Amino acid sequence: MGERMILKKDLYAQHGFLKGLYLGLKITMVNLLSNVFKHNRMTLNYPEEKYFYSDRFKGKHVLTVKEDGTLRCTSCMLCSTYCPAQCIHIVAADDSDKEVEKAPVSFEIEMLRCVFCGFCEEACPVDAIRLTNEYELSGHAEQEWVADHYELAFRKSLNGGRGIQSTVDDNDRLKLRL
Amino acid sequence: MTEKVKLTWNGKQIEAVKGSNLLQAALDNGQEVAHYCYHAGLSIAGVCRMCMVEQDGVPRPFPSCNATCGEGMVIRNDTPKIKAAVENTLQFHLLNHPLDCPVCDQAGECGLQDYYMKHGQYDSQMIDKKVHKEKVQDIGKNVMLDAERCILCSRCTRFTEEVTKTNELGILNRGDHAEITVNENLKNDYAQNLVDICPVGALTSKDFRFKQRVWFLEEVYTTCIGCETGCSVKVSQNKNGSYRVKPVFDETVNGHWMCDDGRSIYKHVSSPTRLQVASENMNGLFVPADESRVVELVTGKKANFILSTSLTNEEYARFFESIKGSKASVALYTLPTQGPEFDGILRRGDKNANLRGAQKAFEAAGFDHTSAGLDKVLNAISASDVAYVVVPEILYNEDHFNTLLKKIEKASTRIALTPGETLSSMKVFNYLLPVPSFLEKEGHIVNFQGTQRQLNAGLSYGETTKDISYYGKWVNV
Repeated sequence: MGERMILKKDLYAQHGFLKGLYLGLKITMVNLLSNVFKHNRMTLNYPEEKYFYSDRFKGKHVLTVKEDGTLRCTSCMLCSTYCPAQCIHIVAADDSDKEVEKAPVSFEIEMLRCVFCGFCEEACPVDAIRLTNEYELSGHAEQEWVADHYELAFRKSLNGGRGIQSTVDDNDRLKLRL
Repeated sequence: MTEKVKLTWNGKQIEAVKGSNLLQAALDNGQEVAHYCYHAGLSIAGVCRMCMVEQDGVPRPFPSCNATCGEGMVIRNDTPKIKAAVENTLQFHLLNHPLDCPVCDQAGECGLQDYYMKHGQYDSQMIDKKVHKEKVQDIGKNVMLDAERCILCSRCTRFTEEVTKTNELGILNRGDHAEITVNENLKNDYAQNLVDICPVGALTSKDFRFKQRVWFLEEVYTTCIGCETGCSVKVSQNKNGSYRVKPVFDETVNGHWMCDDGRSIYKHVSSPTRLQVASENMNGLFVPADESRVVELVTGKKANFILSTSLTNEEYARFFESIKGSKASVALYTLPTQGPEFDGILRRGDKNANLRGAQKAFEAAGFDHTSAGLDKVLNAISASDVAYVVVPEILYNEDHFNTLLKKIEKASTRIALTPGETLSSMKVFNYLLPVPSFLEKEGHIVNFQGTQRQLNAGLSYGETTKDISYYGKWVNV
């Protein structure tokens, strides 16, 4: 052991250790009493109270939909190419609409592999995939941890199951095509 | 005449055959020249105007694809004038381009994408509406046409005119309304080559359509086993399966092309019904079985092997080595001839990929490879025998194969060594054992010219495939 270290030598010389003990306890007591009688605590009574993150938060993914309620995704596979965790699996197929031409028949994200980096959002050329501020992703071990496109686009928390319409509207896109 | 001349390309000395194509000479010497319409296997069109070069003493830039090599030519394509010419030409190519790269199968190997990164002007100066043409047209023979993406390089029309001489495609209308049209649906047997030579996504394959993005695929350079021609091909595959076959330029055998039949040779390799492990026939259902039971069953019995003609020379040699000293009889099953002997371009009626190699190996081992030899072996099969049949990789005529299977029914134990799918006719067999397909083994086959063609191994899709000599060793157990 080295030399005993006393930071406030003057204080110690005058009052011994009791003054320091009192000062420390004062902070504790003030906080205790203010938390009991005034409600300005930092902690929340989760899950009755919840914290809402900003829209920039990178939480559970959402697939946006078009006006007619179908998926915006054209299955160009740029997200699954870019994904560092390689957790996005898309199966593409012909679409009956010639304007659309290509659409996913299956869009799956392995939620346990995902690192929530948001690269898929950046790679997407048609604003089809976004990360939302949903952060409650816990589940049971037996639970299927692969989110399919029904879950990603039409889960209850998204407009009550109607999905989120993208702001880049189809008509706007056609106008942009000139 | 192969008189060599020396010329200077961007200040570097290159050598070329006198009178040969200037663009090809530059490409052969590793120089970069942007080009769309030039294809070594087709005539010169000079319509894309991308391969412009400048020559000392010539006042204006000219397209190098339409020039020939001469002694002492001083050519440059890195001058500001040429750069501006290429940039502006590319801008015109892209004026009406729909930019649907996200849904286009060509993305990743597209000439427009490649040259845009090198020579693109990043802001479009187009103020008018783009001209729209018909998309998603199925023009037959597994080819899809998207007229909007076309840059009118005319490679496809020249192909149907010069190579297949069927003239199905043409360019109609003028100016920015000009587009590729079909007067009737494609009918030639080489139509998939149109997909390969199209530098953009205008002609895409219906078979490959939306299956994979090309950047997920790796190529295996191998040889087609569809017929005795033995074209050089590359098979695109990844861990999920094989997806397409494309020809590789080979001057001696196939040139630039391959036939449509050869395009589907990959299908059995990663098919969901591909035989993965040793399987036993349980009243018509094949269930995974233990190999030791098969060994028990065949021990001490006379073996009759009926080999196919799609094995490699090395496999035949290893097989005959493995059965040396046993009383096993061996015969060769040759596939029947399909269609004409030779269709004038590449395809041949004889579908036996390695008939010559097989014959040589049979003769070396002292067995009869003729059909008479096959009949002799089939007639001599008795009830206590074991009959092994190596299933041919590509079965054009399944009925012909079924007649063979009828003849081996006499044997009590019938075992198929199959590199591909489980066919309905295989209910004849007691056991199915997996052997590697042509994409999973290294080796050589001998084509119709008698030349050795290399087979290369790619990814393996059968869990426990074993070489045919492994099963051959069972005769001496």
